[in-house]
Amino acid sequence: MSDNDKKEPQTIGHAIDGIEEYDNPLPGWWLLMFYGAIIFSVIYWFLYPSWFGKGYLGWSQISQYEEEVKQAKILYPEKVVSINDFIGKDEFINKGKEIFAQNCASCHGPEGKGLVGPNLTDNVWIHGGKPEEIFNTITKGVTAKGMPTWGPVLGKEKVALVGAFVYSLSHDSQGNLLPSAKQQVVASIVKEDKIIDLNKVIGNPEHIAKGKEIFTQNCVSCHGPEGKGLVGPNLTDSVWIHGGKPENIRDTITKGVAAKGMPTWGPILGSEKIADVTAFVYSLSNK
Amino acid sequence: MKFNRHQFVEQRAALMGILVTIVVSIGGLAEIVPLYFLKDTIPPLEGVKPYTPLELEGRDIYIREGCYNCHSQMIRPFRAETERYGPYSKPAESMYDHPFQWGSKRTGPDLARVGGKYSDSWHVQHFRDPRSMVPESVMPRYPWFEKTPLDNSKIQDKMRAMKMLGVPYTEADIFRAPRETANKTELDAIIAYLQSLGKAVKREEE
Repeated sequence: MSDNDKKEPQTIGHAIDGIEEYDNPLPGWWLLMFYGAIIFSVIYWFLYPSWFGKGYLGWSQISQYEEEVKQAKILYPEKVVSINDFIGKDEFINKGKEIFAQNCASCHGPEGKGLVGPNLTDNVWIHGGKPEEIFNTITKGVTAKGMPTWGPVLGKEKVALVGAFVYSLSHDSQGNLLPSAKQQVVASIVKEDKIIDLNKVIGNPEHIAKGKEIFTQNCVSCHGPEGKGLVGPNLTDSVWIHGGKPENIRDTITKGVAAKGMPTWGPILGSEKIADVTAFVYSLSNK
Repeated sequence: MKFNRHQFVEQRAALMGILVTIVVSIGGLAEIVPLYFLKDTIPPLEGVKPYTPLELEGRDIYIREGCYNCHSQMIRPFRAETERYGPYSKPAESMYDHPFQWGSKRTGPDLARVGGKYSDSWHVQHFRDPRSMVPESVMPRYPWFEKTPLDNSKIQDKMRAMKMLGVPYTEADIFRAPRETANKTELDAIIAYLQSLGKAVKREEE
């Protein structure tokens, strides 16, 4: 260095307007890193997956992932659980409520009263209402109706917690049906506790005419002006998806079929109007 | 004055441009070119099918609306991702995607395996008002989907373009396409597309 201090450094040999440019060698530390990086890249090339296949270290993104999953299974083993251990116990029900809010509320509503998915607060169970049945329905899902297969997503413990919460919507801690669940079943079929005797309505031209009017205002957009079906099914044939007896028809209209887009007409129309519509719909295929 | 290589190159702009291009290309070529010759770049995967005409139209709506700005379609091989979204994405799953919709931003969730996760009616509701299905959602509403008839006038051209890019559509597929996409709304198309995503790899059954 002492040489450089004394000597004037070399210039590259040309000058523009008297401005010259030094021609200093590159600093040693910089050159070392430069050539070092080139050598490192060649070594890296052989150690990791590249043109030559899997590389000497045998590393792969997937094996790294599988190792991560293996470690997680050791750290968080799946507990052997039974939904019956959780039923009726508030601490578990509250945990289930959280999981429900994150995963289930989008279809079953924030309070489990049903949106796209069915109402879970009443005692009407499409796939069984015993704790084990609820557990199985959540685990396996009902793919045909859009209920996902939650088993692999949540794992058994969380499914059981959610199941306990769902059960708690209609049962108290002793396993007795809640009064609210009972009332809903009644209310969803007979609004305001008014019981309409269907036998008096069915086949009665006056009620059929009234029913037709209500049908025209509410039902034709899906079932067609003559009830022959559009988005909703044909009502004039002998095929009944949810039963063709007068009381079946009344119940289907009252409760709706949320999964298929049929609204719950009970609270909208009330039992009297529903009885009239039932008479009209029944008359379409029973003349 | 002795010959100066630097000076020789630096004083000739065109020559320098050519040399710079060559040097910069080497890195790219070394990374990209071998992929065309390696067998395991795209390991084959059973069950991967080309999009149906309706799904293809739905995909174009997905692109038109910029869904990729908020939704990715790439589940990376990390446990945190597979726990939430399902098995990690395989290369073959986007082999018929031109261009792929991997995306890079997740304001909304990843959609690589959204197919079959929800029912069609869930999607109908969700497009009308996402908040009605997911209260904390920030996704905009898309109420015009169900009111807008699907414009399928270009479907055959689109399929031919895909065929050129290597999607195995047959002439019969292309012939049938206008009929298969007739009298549909944009909502039908985009839901058909979403429901097709990630179906080739099933979630493990318990």
